Amino acid sequence: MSRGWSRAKLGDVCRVVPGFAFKSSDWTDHGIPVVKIKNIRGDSSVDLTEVDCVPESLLTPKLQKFVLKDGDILVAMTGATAGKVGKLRAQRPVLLNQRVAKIEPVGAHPEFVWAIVSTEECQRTFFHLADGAAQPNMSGSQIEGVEVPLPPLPIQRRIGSILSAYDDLIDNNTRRITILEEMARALYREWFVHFRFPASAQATAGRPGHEQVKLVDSPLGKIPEGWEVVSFVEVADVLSGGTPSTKVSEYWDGSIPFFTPRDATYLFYVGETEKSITELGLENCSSQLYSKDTVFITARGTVGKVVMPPVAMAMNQSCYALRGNAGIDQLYVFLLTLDQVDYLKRNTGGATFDTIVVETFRRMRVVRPSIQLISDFAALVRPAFEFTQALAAKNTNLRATRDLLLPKLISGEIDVSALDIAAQEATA
Amino acid sequence: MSGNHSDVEKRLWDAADELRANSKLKSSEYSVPVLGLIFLRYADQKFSEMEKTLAAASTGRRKIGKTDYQAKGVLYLPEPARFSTLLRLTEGDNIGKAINDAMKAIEEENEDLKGVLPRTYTSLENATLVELLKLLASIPMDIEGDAFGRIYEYFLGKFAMSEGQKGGEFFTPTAIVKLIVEVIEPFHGRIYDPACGSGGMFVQSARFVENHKKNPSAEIMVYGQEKTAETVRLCKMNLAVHGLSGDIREANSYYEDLHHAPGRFDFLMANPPFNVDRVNKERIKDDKDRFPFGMPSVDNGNYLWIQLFYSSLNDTGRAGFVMANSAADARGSELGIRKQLIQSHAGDVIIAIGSNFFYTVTLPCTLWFLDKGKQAPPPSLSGRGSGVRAPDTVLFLDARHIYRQIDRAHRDFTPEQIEFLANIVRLYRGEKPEITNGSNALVAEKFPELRYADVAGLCKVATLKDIENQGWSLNPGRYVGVAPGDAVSDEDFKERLEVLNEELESLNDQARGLEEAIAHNVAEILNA
Repeated sequence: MSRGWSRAKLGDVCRVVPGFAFKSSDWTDHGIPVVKIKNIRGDSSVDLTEVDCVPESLLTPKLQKFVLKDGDILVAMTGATAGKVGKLRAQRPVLLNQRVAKIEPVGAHPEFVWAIVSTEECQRTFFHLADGAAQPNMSGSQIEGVEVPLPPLPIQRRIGSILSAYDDLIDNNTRRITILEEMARALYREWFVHFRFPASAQATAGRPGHEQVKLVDSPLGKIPEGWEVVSFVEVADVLSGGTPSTKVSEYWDGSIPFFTPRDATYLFYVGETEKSITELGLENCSSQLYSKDTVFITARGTVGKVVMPPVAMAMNQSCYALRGNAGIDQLYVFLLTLDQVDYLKRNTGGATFDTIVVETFRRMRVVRPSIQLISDFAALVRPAFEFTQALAAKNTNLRATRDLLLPKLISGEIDVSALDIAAQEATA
Repeated sequence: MSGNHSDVEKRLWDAADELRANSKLKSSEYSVPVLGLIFLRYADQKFSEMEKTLAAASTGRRKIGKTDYQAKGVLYLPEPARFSTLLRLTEGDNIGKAINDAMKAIEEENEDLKGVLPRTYTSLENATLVELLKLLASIPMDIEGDAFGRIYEYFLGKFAMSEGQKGGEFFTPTAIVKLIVEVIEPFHGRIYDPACGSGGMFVQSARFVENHKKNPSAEIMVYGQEKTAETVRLCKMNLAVHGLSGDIREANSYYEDLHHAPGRFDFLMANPPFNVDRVNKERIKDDKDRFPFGMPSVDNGNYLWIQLFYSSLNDTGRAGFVMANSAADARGSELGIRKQLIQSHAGDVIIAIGSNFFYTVTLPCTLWFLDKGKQAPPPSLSGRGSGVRAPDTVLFLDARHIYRQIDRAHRDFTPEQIEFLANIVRLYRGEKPEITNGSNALVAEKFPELRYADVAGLCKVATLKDIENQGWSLNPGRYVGVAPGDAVSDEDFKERLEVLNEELESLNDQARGLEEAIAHNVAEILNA
């Protein structure tokens, strides 16, 4: 061990503060967001896109110690992600629910503490604390008892500073992806829901803008003249998926990503798939190899998540693949489907759980604009879609680099004491 | 009248730009010599006018000489430096050398300009120089007011635009400078700009004083620091062209303080470079006079500049400066510094400006205004009820949706819009609104009683308590809210898209800094 390094109990440098036991009657859709177990995603993030809230009135001085701020380190103490940690990114105050704990650094550099607890090894140690029961469970004091390496404070700072640049850039990239997606959705709604589309950029092409087109009656209300109300299946083909036999090992762990609803996140493009299959597996299942930008919609269990593969993928039978027909661009099909998700969710059937069936798509009426308008739209938004993919790829790379550096830095294998690193001081 | 001016400027620019295009010169090689010639042409004009005046007053007993001109505040031009002399040269002569000599001769006769004027004319072709001289000679003699100053500034701005990223360093868009000046109202006293660039802030201050019927050279004294020697020269020429004198030094303001700034200035205006990294904080961390709130822990110069600005003011001093948007919400140690600043009661007004105001970057920005002597207005000041300003209030203005589109990528403010924004500040201070640029209609629409009121989506007065509740954020968007309106108007979509785009631009900017830090760290690790 390098000079000045020691080992310490996590409890010597941190306090573990478990969350508050809110009553089930407290939950609402609006108010102060509360971090629950489900928000700890297991990928070092705390995902607040689908968050439960409690009313503002509940925030009494008694609850102050459960108010979280940006950068707080959280750990799941139970359930499927037990032992997983996440770093909170929040612009506004957020509360902490029971069975999630805050790891509050005391006397150690916060970024260094984050580095330590976010290692695979440390998260595995946490998980083993809870071992042995059907429902894994751990306590704050168990976490405080975990042993960790502890370099001198200036070294902690340097290590924290090197690693936090990765965290910050990953967060920055994710926010940019979200913004680009929101821009694309806003433009879709502007053109195809509010019917405010401009004339084509090339004057010679002669496609008129909305000022030159009058609105006419249709079964779906007023629509621009020349547009049609059609069944969704006239816009896109609805194709199915399938799973090769799980008993044949030659079918699995190949080079073809295999999408299942579990892989869907809240982002447009699927990041990584948990499973993959071989060429042989693909031949022996009812899924095709779906090219980049095919629209995947989850149809059983978790219904109505709409995503696209950034590379060719196969998918299982819990999803449908949508491919625009007659030259209708995939990006348009994607945003159209996303816009129709509420309709699809309301019109599910199925005995034991919600399902969307092909008939659901057949019955769904949509407004179809001219192919020229769709192409113009797709050309306009395509760079934004490409940019989100580039940013996502960058994040994969950054995570890999961070994971490569992390163990070597906190073990002292890479000596940072002589490097020119702009070290951050502890931030209160 | 002003329309004529811009015609002249545009015509001159177009012609000068065409000459450059034909000469295959790079914009950066061409800009300083051209600005030097505009300077010379201006000096010659003043000299000629004075020559006539002096001759008329002369009794003939004594030869009129250099000291007579200097006594009248006019640059003395020896014969080789006269514009008419240069115009008589033909393409057969070595014109580049002749102009270099002219510049040298002026410097020799005028101590203030020593080392300031360009001497690179031999690198331009004779034909180009002949055309340039002819072109500048064609500036009509009868244009009124500060014509040369406007032309010089117009050229500075245009060169900034054509030189790309680098140009943004020395040129702050005139509309933004004007707004800053209107808000801090530098009528009288010492004005400081520690990142003065080509001196745009000073020129606009002088114009402001002039517009209020006073003589700038008697009312204000200007002090500047600028780190690039070439830009210092442009600044000195700019001041001279505007008939201003000032104390402009070449210095790096992070480390050097040649004007002994702390507590000294009545006004401060600046547009510092945003998000500068690698400032050596070890060198300055003990300088509590200039950095009273301590060092930020992050590698970003924004909060060093903010403290420099704050500490340069005297007890009643006012500051107005341009800041990166990210500074308003910066966290960690920067939040700590911002909190101290706000708790000192110096924060006065914060204005959010939309994107595309700068020539070379699309980035939006925020204007911060400090006032160390901030006080509630006396109740009877305007006769129509006072403003709402108090020591613990800050006025937040969201001007992101106020602009004039110049071309696809550039925006500015109209004089009316600048006056309107400044008038909101005046109402807040309990002062009378000004209506010389036609902002009456706008003011009457939003403030029918001619009295300050919060307007959703435009302005909001927040107390220290409100600011604390927002985590010490100085981001106007958090306070002013959005204007009520139709659920789906055309504007809503555009506004939404704009807001998203601004956020994206800030993130792009921030990402560049992080990417550089990562690249640097990895290089360090690999080389260790």
